[in-house]
Amino acid sequence: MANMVELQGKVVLKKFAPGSKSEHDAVFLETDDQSYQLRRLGGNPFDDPALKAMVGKTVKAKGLLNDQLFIAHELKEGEGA
Amino acid sequence: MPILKLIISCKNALTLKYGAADFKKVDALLAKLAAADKKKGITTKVVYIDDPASASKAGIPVFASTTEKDCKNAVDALYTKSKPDYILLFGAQDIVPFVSIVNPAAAGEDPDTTVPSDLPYACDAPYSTQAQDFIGPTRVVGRLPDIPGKGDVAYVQALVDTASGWKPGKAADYSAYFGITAKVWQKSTSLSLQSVFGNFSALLQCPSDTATSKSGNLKPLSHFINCHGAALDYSFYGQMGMSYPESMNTKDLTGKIGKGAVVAAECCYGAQLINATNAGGGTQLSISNNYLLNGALGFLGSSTIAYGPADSNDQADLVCVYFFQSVLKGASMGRSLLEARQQYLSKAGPHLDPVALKTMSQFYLLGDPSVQPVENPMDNKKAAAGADTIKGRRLQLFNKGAVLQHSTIPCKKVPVKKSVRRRKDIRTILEQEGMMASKEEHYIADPKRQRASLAAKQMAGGPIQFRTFTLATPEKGKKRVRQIKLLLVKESDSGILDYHVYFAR
Repeated sequence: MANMVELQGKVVLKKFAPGSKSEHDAVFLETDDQSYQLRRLGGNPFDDPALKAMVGKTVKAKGLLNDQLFIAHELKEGEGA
Repeated sequence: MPILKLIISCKNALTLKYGAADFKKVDALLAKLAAADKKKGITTKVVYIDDPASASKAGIPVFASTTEKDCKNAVDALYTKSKPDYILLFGAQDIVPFVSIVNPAAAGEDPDTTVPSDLPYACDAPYSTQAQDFIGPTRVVGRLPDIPGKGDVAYVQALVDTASGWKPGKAADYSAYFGITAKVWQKSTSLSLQSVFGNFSALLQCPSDTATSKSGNLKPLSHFINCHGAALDYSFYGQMGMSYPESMNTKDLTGKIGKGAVVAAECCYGAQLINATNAGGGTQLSISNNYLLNGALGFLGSSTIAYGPADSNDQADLVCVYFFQSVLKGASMGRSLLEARQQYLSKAGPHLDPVALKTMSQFYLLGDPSVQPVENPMDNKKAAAGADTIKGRRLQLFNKGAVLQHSTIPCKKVPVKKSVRRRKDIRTILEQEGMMASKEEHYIADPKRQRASLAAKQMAGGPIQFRTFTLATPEKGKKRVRQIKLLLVKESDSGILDYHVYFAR
């Protein structure tokens, strides 16, 4: 069961699953100790302009954590940076 | 001998999920399915592996808990006891768990840690979490899912009604198809459709012609989907360049599917059964769940990230193509999957690379395995003459699976060891392919580890090595990574045997 959690970290763009049918430039949230694939609830998992606009920024995010996938319900830029 | 089908499930998990009163309704629906099977000449028994009376009646010990290991052991015990022709696992993963196979391709850039799989239930090998142990499928298995995390009797009733009321159609009914591909995989999907249907004239490309499930005609009874998919998501996606438009959304399926449709989806996570609580999806159903609710007989798809080349057919393409070919020849959906698995193993082997092992583990059938979408007139004729074609085929498929288990050699990951003897050859390939700066992984498939006679081991030769090289190539003139190549080199002691290049999607 996924847990609702709050995470803070830097948004970065990285290649996801190279060579597979899912390969794409994906957005990740890099916290102090982990890197999570970051998606917005209802956003296109392969191409979400709103998320890509946050690349390079530090954000605070609230959402569901499923293993290495974080589905953000709320995203706030710059807090705690 | 009667044709035997076992419906296997877990009473405690069902009671917890549905409540005692609704569990009785679910139990009655399974009895209804059994009664409908009887009219088709199939003897169907429902077995709750954690219920003492039910387990005892089936001739196995009761399983007090229903972990992955328990369920696998229970299915093995039931198979040993009864040799069923069909095994139907009833319920989603919160009722009968998938076996969590350790991802054999995880060593590279593949982020899946495990591969939820029904393959172990189709194999005689004992419980394990290693894909290498399940290379000899012998059993006809499918899963009739309910909705993960939600006890919905009406959903179960809809699926039972579809399966119990089905009569095999004509092959011509399934010759028209709904086929959709990410534009970047158009060549690969065209080859797949040509192999299955003899043409690819109806293939929709996304993005192109605004092809989506909204615009496409979903009434044809064969659906072949080769699009992108993502974990815990309710859509599939096309691709052209860096654009990934939605090609199909679960909402667009409602009321649009032809009754009796059969679906093969190559997409990553294409058959993932989503618990809406985990995805924040409210009351939405995953695409596979919704297909079944809307009258599809079966859905073949992947639990995790899948593989396949852009311009030819391999891996996910082949499993889906082989499955559909069997369906169109008049096989039941469960037999179609077993034949597809065996055919894929024969094609990919005898030395199985890590991607082949993952492909084998990740595809499962959602739907009643005994349902036969297309009639087989020849079988009817033979049955009239007293021939038991189902038993004959099970015998053949069992032995074929047993042979594959002993003749196929799965690879195992080993620490990267730079090749000294073939450094020059590998360097030449890397230079030719422009992959000098790539990331290397190393696997060995050793026939000496298989059980075989000394002579057979000597004839099989030495170990086969696989080296994978992954390279992210920057787009010309830009810093952004745009293309990935995956080079797979196959070597024996005597030299390099072959290599393949998979391009970025």
